[in-house]
Amino acid sequence: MFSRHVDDELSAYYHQELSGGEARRVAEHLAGCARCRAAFDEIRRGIHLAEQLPTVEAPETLWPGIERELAAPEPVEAAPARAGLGLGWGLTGALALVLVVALGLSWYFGFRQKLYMYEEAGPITEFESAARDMHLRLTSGREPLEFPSTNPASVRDWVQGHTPIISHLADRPGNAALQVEMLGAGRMEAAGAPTAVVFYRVNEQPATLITARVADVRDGPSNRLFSKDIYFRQDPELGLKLLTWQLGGQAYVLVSTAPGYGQQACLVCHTQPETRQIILSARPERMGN
Amino acid sequence: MVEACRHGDRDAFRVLFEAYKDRVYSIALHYSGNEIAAHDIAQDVFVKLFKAIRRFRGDSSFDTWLYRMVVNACTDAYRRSRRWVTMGDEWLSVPDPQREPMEERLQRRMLQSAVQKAVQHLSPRLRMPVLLRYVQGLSYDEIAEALGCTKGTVASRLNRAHRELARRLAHLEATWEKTDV
Repeated sequence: MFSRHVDDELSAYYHQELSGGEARRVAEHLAGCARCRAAFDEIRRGIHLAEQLPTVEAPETLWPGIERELAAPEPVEAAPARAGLGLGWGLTGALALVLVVALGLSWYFGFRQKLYMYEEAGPITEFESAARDMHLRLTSGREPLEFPSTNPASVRDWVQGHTPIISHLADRPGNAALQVEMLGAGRMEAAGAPTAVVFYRVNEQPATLITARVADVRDGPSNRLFSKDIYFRQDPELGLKLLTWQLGGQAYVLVSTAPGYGQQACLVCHTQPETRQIILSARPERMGN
Repeated sequence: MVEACRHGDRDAFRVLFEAYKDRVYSIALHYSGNEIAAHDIAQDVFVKLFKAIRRFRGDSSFDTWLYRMVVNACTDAYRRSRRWVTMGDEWLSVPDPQREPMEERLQRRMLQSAVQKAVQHLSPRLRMPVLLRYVQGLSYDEIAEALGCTKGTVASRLNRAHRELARRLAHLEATWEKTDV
């Protein structure tokens, strides 16, 4: 007598998830069907393999991260622009760039596989000076943030809603070894350009990231520091590290006291493991002119 | 303990967290293959758990309710991710069972790593039932409830997953024998 094959029921049969009657039917079928017995052997091997999946110990940073999330205040709505910083900007849709920095950089690193960094010895540029000075004002408390917020997504939205800059701060920057604490954002004019400012801490070290469209920065298009390579500059007197680069038509300066060449502070935007590895392993190739 | 958490007892929540953290993290890690993503997923799950536990009415088992959150968090993270990178062997920090001889320990780790990579190659639809079954030990009914599907669908997906794992790792059959699979 023909009986329906039982392939689809074999895992449930093995795990004793069938009713008594169903299990008896499967057992009787297996006794007389070589095809289903072969399938059963294959499924048993698969089950035994799956049973090897280990339980991995959760990292110790998990609970502190949860506590921080639970203690964090709800996102702060943007305050009305203060007269001192308001420059009468609104969204200028026709001028807004559509590049997503993180996607672009991830693609870029995947293509190049290596990040070229150069140590810059030439005179500090106007744009870099503006970044450095803003960093000093923020860390000393002389410059209140226009939009204080601990929520990276809110900061990102605020920047995109109040400047012509497109930003792609990671929702959850940082990792088990790197704690990134967002503090907020603001606006300024740097080297003649409307500039977005993001202020945060990396492992409790303050960092300031400024960005503006290259075309708006005084002498921006001819500034060799605004390239896909990263230019590193150190201010030994103040202990500051400055990283300058350009991507997607936007110029960036990152000021921090992070260890090494300050690359840890880059991880506020970059969460892909390969990108992080490339960034953290970058070293200056040569002295700039 | 769940009742204490429902009343906002943070110490009780810590105990709950300690009881489930490894399994939640393991599912997130095996699903995403990425330590950073797994950390974010697990953190997200526990934060949501703390905020939502007051609404837990006990209609289903707590485990099923929790792992429903895990499934949703993994699925949401997967949709948001541009690309998850499968980690190499180094993240497998599995405590060595008892005191195995070195050779057997290495073979076990090699097999576990191969299984993990093979699980990573399963489609998300097949991957999650495998993780809920073998990391958490849920029954087919519980898996169905966590996934929002029927028991028959769970059985079918596990069936396909088992066969795919067996075929993909057939070359390791000699290793299975040595590790008493």
